[in-house]
Amino acid sequence: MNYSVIKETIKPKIKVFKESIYLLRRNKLTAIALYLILAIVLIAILSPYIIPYPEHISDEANIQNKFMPPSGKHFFGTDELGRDIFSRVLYGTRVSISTGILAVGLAVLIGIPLGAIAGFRGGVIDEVIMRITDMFLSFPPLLLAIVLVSLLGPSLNNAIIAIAVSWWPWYTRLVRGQAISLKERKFIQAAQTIGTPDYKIILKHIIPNTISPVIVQASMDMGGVILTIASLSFLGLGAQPPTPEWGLMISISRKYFPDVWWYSIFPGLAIFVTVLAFNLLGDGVREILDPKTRKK
Amino acid sequence: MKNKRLISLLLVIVLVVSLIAGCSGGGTTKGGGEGAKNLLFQANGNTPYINLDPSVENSNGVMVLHNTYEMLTYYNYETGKIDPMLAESWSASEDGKSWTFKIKEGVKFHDGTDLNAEAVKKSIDRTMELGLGASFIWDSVESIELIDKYEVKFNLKYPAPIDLIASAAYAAFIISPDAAEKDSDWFNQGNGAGTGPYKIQKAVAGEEVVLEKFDDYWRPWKENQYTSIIMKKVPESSARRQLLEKEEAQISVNFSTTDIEAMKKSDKVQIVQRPLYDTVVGCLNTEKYPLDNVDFRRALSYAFPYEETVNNVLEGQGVQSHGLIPGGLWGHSEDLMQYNFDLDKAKEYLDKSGVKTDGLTIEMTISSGYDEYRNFAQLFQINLKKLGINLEIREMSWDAQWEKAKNPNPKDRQDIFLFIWWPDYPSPISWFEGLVRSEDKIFFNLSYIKNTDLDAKMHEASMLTVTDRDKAEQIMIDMQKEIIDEAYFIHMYDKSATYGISKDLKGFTTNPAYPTVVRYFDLYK
Repeated sequence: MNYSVIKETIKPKIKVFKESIYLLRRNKLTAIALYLILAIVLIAILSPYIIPYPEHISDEANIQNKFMPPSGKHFFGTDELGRDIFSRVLYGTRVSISTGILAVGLAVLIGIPLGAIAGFRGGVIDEVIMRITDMFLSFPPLLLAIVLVSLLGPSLNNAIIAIAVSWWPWYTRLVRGQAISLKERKFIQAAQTIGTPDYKIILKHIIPNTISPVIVQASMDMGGVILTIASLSFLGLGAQPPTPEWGLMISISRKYFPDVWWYSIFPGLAIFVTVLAFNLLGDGVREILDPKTRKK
Repeated sequence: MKNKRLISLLLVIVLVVSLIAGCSGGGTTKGGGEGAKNLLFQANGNTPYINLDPSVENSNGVMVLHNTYEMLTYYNYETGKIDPMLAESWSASEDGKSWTFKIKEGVKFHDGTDLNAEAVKKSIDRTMELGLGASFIWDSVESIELIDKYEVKFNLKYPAPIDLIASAAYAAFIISPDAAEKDSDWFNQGNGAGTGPYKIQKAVAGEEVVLEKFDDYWRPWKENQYTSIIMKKVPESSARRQLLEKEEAQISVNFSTTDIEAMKKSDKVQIVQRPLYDTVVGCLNTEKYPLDNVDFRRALSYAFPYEETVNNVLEGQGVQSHGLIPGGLWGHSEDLMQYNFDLDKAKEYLDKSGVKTDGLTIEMTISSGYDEYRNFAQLFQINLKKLGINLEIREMSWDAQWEKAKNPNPKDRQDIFLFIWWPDYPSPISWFEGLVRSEDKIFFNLSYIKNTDLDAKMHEASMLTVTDRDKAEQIMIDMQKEIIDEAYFIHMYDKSATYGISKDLKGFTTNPAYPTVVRYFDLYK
């Protein structure tokens, strides 16, 4: 294969990519969301090195200094143990983003194979998997997560597991629908005719072709998952002190509200901005990947 | 699409506005309507009662029951003496094994029957027979004998201070003979018949109790006293503060420190600091590695942030403990050794203990919903981290916390149990019998102490309480020396209560022997 052939084969891919970037930039809200998320992820990665009081995450407290209002020294004020809220909110990005990615990733990992198998094989296997899925879907996700965490014991890791368990059915349904339509396509039938084993077809052909709707769904879910983790922590079922988790911070701060308003407002704003950014991005990505908007 | 966004934006705005409006609403029953001038509203953080059966209730319900029932005697914490209540006078035999009480004449129960010796016998017999709640306070009683219509005699198995026991905060109430025939369900429907100044008008479990004046009370009523009382659960500290500031509530208790600071500036509320016999201790699991090592326990005792807890977390609503017995009770001694926060000493004892801290995690359970516990626990966590010990703080409901503590396998129990102890009747022996006495079946000895020497000493002190109090006190102080040296507990602090009351409320007082109780008959405008 010479260079020009490679060039020819990747040309359409480059075109698609360029188109996507164009659409992304045309949609201002999505662009803003994307920049916001880039910033959030950057903060999450760099937070241990850039925050002014890294010792206030878990190693140090300064209780003589408690409940100081926002100032040049403490941009977001201090909390009930005199710790810098700015540092803790920034570090909280790391906690929320990483737990969000873990929870969604886990749900995707459970959901995709099950959905692909159900859709591709059909019959009894499909019935069994889908009825189990229905069972999980009949509970509101937050409620199911609360029940699971209460059983497992409150901790951040258990919250991640609980969220993944209550979220996977959505991916299963999504992938199953895709798999059913893919099954009828010529290239799958061709693969079957030459005797490719089922697991290979699922791995090589079905799953890669269902990835894009899953990515859309996952990016839209990130906001919801981060919110759910915050909710669980707010109820005392997620992160435990001294973890600087936003939901937990709001839960603790509400007893001091409204006198110590800064303690609730800043973690609240952090949740608001993050969830909004992920939801807008999800909306945008869906529009970009939708062939109907593409044609215009 | 645009329209949809606009509508959802509007919806969000409406939601936020209604939330803000909801907050200031505060969820209260307005004390308006007829007779409002003599109505008193107390807002509590907790439910006003668990059980309204006076023989059974061993919890918050005493704040209702002490207004509707009375005991034979009443403990006066200011003089340290026992005042008469339904008993006019009493005397004990030389050996302290038989006690005779003369009952007041002309006292009526709410159901109209007269108080007499028989009613007294029947009430206490009922409590002992049911054997629930704090009924163990009567363990020393062999039998109760009727001498005549207004005289009753207690025959004991061993000497015990019956005059003091009869003044107990729990399980010492005198009930009308008819009501004494009924079961707990009947009481919990809001029924009952005591001799107290108020009758229960309405009781909603977990929510509220409404009391109303009993006209035939044996002490005379005055014009300016309160005739109707509402006790209602308002869980949020800030909501209770708002009720006080809006003059809807007259009494409330248990505020966050920020709410107290704010109320100090209000011209409608006064802040009243009241003594309690509550002590907060960390029970150290002496049956589990590494806390079975006395030097390790001493190291923990030196790592606790006493000063910061008292000054900055509690902001003065407590003092560091001297041993087990709180100030204001006999048996308390300021000469007892106090551990102070000293990380060097902690390090020294840690080295001495030989415990390897590398990756060592210990677990502390605390009751959920108490900010102050979480705050000092986190300070403690930070200190221990400097010693290389990882402290895991587990906030759980009291039931779950206690269940874990009673696990048959010591390895599955917590390492540190945060416990708040107050006596059933105001005697220092309560701390020893509750927290220190060896137990076959785990109850409240949550350091799991098995020390036969201390058991023998507390038995001796208990016997001497009646006949030779000075000697009993000396034994108790010696016992505390040993307990402190063994570091069975982290002696954190003695607590006091901060009440917020309306500026024009008069006669307000509380008695540490009767925790959470406000006697509404004492109050006036």
